[in-house]
Amino acid sequence: MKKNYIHIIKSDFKRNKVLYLIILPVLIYFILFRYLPMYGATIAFKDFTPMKGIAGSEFVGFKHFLKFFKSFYFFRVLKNTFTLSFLQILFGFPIPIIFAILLNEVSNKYFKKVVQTVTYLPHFISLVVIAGMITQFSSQNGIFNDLLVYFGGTRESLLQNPDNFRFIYIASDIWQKAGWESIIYLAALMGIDSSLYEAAGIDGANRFKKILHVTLPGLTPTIIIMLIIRIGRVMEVGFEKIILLYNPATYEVADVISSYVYRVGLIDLNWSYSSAVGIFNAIINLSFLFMANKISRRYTGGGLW
Amino acid sequence: MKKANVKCISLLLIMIMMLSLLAGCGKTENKVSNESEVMNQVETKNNEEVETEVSEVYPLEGDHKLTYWVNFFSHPEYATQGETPLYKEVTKRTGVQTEWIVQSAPEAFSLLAASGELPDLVLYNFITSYPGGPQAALDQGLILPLNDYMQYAPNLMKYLEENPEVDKQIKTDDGIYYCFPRIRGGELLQTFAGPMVRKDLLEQNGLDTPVTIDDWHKTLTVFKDLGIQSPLTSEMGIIKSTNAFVGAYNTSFDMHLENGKIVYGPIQPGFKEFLKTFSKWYQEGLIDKDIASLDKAQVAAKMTSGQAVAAVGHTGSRMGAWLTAMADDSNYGLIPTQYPVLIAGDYPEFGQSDLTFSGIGTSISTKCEDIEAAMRLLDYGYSEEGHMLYNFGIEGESYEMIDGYPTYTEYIMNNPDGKNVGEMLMAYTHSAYFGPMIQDIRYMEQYSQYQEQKDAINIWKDTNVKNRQLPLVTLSKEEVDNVASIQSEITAYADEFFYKVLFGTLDVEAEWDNYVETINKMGLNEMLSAYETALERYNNR
Repeated sequence: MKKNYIHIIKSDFKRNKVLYLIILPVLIYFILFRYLPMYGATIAFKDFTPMKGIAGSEFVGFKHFLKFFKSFYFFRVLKNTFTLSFLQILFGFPIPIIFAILLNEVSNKYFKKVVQTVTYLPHFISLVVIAGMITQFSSQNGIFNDLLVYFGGTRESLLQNPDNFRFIYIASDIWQKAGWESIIYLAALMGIDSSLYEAAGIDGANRFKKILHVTLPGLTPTIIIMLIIRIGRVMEVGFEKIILLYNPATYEVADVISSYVYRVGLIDLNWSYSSAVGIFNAIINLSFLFMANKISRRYTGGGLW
Repeated sequence: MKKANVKCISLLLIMIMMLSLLAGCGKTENKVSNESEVMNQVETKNNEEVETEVSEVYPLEGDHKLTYWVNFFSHPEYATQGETPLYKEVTKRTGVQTEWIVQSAPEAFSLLAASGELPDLVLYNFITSYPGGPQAALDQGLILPLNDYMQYAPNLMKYLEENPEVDKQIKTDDGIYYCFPRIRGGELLQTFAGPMVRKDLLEQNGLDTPVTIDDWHKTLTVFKDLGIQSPLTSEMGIIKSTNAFVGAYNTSFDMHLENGKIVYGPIQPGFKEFLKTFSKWYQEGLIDKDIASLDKAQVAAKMTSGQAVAAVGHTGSRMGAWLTAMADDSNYGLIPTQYPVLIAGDYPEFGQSDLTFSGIGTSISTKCEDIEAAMRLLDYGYSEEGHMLYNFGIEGESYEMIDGYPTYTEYIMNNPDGKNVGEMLMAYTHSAYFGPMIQDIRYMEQYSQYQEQKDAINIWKDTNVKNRQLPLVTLSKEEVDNVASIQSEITAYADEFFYKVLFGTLDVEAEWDNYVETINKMGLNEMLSAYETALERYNNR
């Protein structure tokens, strides 16, 4: 059996030499930059001091993990991470799909192109610039306040109010990413056999029915895979945007695990502690990924693996 | 046909690229030769001096090259200190070449230390920014204890013998020297921030300079009624670090000394009164609505456009900058005010005063091989000649001795190419940023171009803050392990409470007891007692 297996690989290698060669750089990349660094994660179980190195530092077990669980801010950063990510999935995930479907219905090619370009332009603006724009626009004299006043609101500093933070975060995220993310769905839409639409038309389906019974089922595999991948990153709220946008007045809703890791690890030079928090975060992510995949396999018959 | 076309175009493109490359080369060459010409002139000028002034030690014999890591250097013309006229001169005089690594991200040092690949010299604040302080950095083998090499630093040793108070500040609790400090050489250099108001607007409305908290309330209200959008503006960070306004209530935003004991400012009864007042002002629209998120540029815009009339800020980068920006408007004026007090005639208890040694100094890393050269290079700044060079630059070029007073030349103060004084000083001196040196008061006397700035320092330094602020004590590694997270959590919690009360989301009367209790529960006593023992050790140094 074992011999057989090696034999298969050997003959396969002989037959597909070039293919193996092509994948080699990728393999090397992953080993060098994805697997070897994992060794560094062991500092979460040690009291890391730079001069002693990773191997030489003293082993302390789960000390740093326990410290995090006992921390005053544990529940808060956990809750904020979940909330922000969940809201992102709830609002951010369907919008590119809806957008792609709607765009697909537009028959004017020129208009379609313009809309597509305009919507994915924000994807190319640097995050720092975007955060700067948001800060300026949300200030007391900013354009958002001008709009607010126009519609009968009162001027306030929007980014200082914890109630607004999540909305601003999610809305700007959608604005920045929806156009770009819709590309993959548009591509999937291209793959739907046009004869299906014709057949539906002959059966008397109107536009809405066609979307419901042809387009959506055609998109489902893509949607599910994207959703599983997205859920696998549920705890991965990027710290860059948070750090650029938050201030002490909004820590309460804005501080997430990754911004916490950045602060205690890189700013306060607490490397071991922050890797412990990071590992905890990764484990939760991984378990979510497994869960999502399992659920998907059970109910739709397909998943990532 | 088509193929030929493509070939033609690509050939053309290649030619264009080559040409532009050549052009680029030509330009840089020109620049270099220009620079070296200037350098040659400088060289001939200074060779005469070198012969007469330099002691036997400098320049050091042989080849010496050191790498020098700094956290911050921002000059529009020079990428690193190494390219400035100052360091070209330093290299010439000391015989030590320096190669600079400038990284300004807040996490840069953390990454540097974690990588273990250290440069020879590191400019850093080990007391406030390294967990466990300099002692931990020494124990972990990051930086070198200098005691065994102090014979190479006669100038610094001489200064420390004459100034035992500074000597105490720059040693660790165990008496180990670990850095070459930047020292503020005079009381007037230690104060550089405080409150200020628009002078012209006060006069127009027949108002006096506000002194008490009530005066401030009245003044700001008058301006609010005149339609000024946010009368009092500022970066919150400056209000916190100077303790303006809160100081009137005899407390601070951090730990301070109360009859020789360390107390935590934000839970003192005075802080509650301060919060009530400040929150009321905020609700009345007297304080900038954006106060939690303002940056320097936004404050500057408001202070120079009439949207705000008062701010807490620095003499140079705020007051000086705003006055310069409004130089064309003869009406525009700023007047420094004393730190606000509760009752007229009271002496302000809190204000801003930087310590003689703020913790920032240049240390030698354990990776350094040429220790003698490193010591000699750093010690040079404390020699008489080095002192003049680091504070005033090159004689005949950046300063002239006029009646025994080193006076910056027109080239520095009114640069013909229109560069501002700050830029020029950064290129020719060390005093505008951190380095191994003693800052000379005569630098500040000239850097403050406006009378208002000079007045400001004299008014702002009149506080009792020196008796209230904590010296730069260092916690031991064990103390840090226990206290660091407590401290950052307490600070964050107090910060949030402050903002919530300020914005009116929390009622201070109702929540105060709960707030104090929470802070106590978070381990305040542990933190304070750790600092008490550290203070004791400091006093026993």
